[in-house]
Amino acid sequence: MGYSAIAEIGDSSGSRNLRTVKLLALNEVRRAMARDFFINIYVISKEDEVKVTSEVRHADALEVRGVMLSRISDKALKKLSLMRKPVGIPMLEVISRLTRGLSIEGLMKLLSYYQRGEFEIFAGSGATRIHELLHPEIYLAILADLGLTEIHALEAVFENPQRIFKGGVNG
Amino acid sequence: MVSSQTALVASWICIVCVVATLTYIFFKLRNVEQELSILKEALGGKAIKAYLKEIETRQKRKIVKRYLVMKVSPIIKDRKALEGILQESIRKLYGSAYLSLINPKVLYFNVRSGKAVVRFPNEFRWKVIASLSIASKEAGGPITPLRIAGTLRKAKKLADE
Repeated sequence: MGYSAIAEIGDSSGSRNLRTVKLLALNEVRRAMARDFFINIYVISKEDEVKVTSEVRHADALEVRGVMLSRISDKALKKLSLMRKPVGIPMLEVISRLTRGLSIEGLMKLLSYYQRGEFEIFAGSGATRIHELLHPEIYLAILADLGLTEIHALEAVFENPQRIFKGGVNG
Repeated sequence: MVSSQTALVASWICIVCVVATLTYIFFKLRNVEQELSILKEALGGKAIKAYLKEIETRQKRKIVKRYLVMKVSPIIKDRKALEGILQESIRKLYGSAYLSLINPKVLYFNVRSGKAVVRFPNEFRWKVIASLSIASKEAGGPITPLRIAGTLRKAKKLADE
């Protein structure tokens, strides 16, 4: 079962919101390491951060976390869809929210927008240590259990991260 | 002469009776038809249609079991311990009601290969795999789903590989 792992390697520009992330597909580790691929992810944790700034324009993808997973307005969702960037979900945060009994209303809205094709979603682990990583099948099961169709969940876990990594989203 | 008159009257009475009975039956049938049409309309409603369909499917539905082969962290050395961890993680994520519906059973545990086989109803497949995220935390090591098999024999074969 081939899968991709996203590993965070630190800030590139010192900006709070901009993170540099290295994505390694298991069968492409050597090649990727040699060519030093990296993608920029703009992290959105508050609703007022959903703005089209130069940082967002330069980012390869967005990531929604924190309060945004529990509450997100339709206006912010429309803005997100207008940005035309893939939206990442930190799955470990989703799991911790589920176990603590916190609301995931925002995530459900995001998933429904993804199902309608408004924007693309990719599931990231959100892990900061190697032992926190879980098997991608588990992320797939969580997304499918939250109401995504199997095809959409499969795309979010296996296909979309690879496509972002290979530059398929922004051309 | 008198007898022929009585016979005529009697026949007239008979005819009137028959006509009256027929009219009564006709109107009664019309009423029944109306009632039937009302019932038919009511049964044609979306909710009742869905309910009837659900009853039909419930009668046909058969509980299909599946066998999940998974790699367990070397910290777990006991079948019962693994079962307890799985049950606890399902209870934590979905509650006791789902735990009794899913009822995961560890049927096979190979200590040497570190693989186990868990049985559960197929309709809760995603729930069982999703609960492994919590189980991994509780076990203190990763629990990785490898494959889902349809029979225990095949699952055991996969676990022994």
